[in-house]
Amino acid sequence: MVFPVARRIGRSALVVLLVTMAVVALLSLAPGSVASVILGENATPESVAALNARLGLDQPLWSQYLDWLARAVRGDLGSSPLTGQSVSAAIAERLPVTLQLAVMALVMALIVSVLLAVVSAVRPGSPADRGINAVSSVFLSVPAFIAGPLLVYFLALQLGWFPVMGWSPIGEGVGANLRSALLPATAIALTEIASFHRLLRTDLIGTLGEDFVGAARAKGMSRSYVMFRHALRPSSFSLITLAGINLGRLIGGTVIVESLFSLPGLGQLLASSITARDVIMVQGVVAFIAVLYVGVNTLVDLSYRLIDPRIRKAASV
Amino acid sequence: MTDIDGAVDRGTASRAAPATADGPAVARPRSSRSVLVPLSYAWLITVIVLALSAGLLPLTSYAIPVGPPRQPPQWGSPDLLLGTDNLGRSILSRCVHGARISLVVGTVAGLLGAVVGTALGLLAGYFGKRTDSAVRLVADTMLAFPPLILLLALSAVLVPSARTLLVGLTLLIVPSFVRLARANTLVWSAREFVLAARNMGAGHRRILLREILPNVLPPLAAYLPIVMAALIVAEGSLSFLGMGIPPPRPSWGGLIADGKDTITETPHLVFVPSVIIFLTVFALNQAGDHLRHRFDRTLTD
Repeated sequence: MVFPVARRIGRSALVVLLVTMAVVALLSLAPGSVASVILGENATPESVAALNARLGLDQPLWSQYLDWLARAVRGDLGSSPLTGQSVSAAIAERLPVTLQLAVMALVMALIVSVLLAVVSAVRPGSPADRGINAVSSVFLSVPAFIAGPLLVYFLALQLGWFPVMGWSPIGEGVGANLRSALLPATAIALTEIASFHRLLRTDLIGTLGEDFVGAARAKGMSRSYVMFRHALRPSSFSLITLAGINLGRLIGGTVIVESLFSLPGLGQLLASSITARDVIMVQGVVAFIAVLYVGVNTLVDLSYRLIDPRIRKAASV
Repeated sequence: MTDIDGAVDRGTASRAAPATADGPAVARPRSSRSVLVPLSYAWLITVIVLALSAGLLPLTSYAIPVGPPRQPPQWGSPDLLLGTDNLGRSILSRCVHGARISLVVGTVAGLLGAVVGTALGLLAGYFGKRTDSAVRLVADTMLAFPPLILLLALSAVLVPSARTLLVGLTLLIVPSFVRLARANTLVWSAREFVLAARNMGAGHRRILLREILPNVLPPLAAYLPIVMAALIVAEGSLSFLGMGIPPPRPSWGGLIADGKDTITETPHLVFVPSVIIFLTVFALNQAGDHLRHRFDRTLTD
């Protein structure tokens, strides 16, 4: 039990090291030098050399990385050469918006997809199941950059139910906050609903055909009790794993909707830093997101082993 | 957004669910899919033919205004069939030329990534041990970047161009194919005919290329449409953020981005490219599901 867990954590630590190495090395990919990217085309060679020296970019790559790592573990990701703002402060300021969007989208997708999958799995092949399947394959093909503008057009502009853009912080009232977050969260939730529904439906149909479900029904338990207490539980594990994997797409989705709805989140910070050629900020944000993503997936993997007794026994892989 | 790995995982997940393949329960939705599959292939063929013959069609170039800006779709000249954009350029022409970018990007990056990923996955699955750990570590590292974030990071330091885009998108899908190819190779290299070939004195090269690869290829190829759909979405997302193909060359995501500011007055600027992307991604997903059911036997066995 302890050995595979330690191995999983060790492996993730190795991945984190490689990821951060890749992010630091990313800067050396820039044609010319990073300083010339930041300073633009009409920079003098002297100012380029000065900025390179200030950022430590004239050092060999391995020493750059060690420097970066030593500062990063203390929470210092450098500061933007354009605005002077510290990268970690900028991330801390923007993170709550992105987190709220991602969590809302995930919760929304889970609730809707569980309901749809239960209806689907009760009678596979019924008109209800077919209708839900059709909707689900449509949702699967609607990326956030299509869903966003369409939701804005119909629900915000035509019906006026939601603000067209902008963000109300939770301090200005929970209602206003939710209203400003609901449309963007829905735009990224659609694909996830479809993806969760597909998995859960297949899983549930399989589970409902097993002997223990038949036994529970034969003992006189009601259909709904068996469905929610017996069948959904084993299926929820694969759902958690899929949610962890899909988190990457969800993060990408937040970048899209934050730019579309002008929400002050991490994605918008990333997009505006790219436009402004603020490479140090981009580096910090990308490293932060990647490490967070690895961390969440490691936790998902470990929790899965801890919760599911079947895996606990077979956890030698 | 794009998650090819999500698509892959759906495959594994349904693999784990027992006894669903032969039950009458699953047979019915499959028959309802058969209506959409020919329609999907028809749409894909139409898009491919239009994109290939873009230069031959009676359309004005995508960069030249053909009328007043923001005209609604109308009959008459073929240029105005889908209306005009903010600068009076033909939307039909821009959509057709945008299809070229999307298809080229989807196909080339898809194939490149498939070749590289399959090669690595074959080696990892066949040789195991250190090769396997090394390849898996590289694949895990690449998967540690959320897809769009990886593309954005690359676009921050590189000059945006079709070539940069292709490199980024290829990197995006290599790890998924590594995982798929590795899993399939593990299954096949344990089979008796591989042992027989080895006992007859066949080298690693021969076993990999002549015994294992032909068996691994069909299920991998069946994933290509789904991968292409994901790549088209990725390219669209990037262009939507203004970091894909640089203007004036049109791309589908760019068309939506151009139209979104005037969506109140002229919604067709957004609707037309949205519908085209949706239909293409939908058709590719349908085709992919269809092919996977036919060729990926691990799904149904």
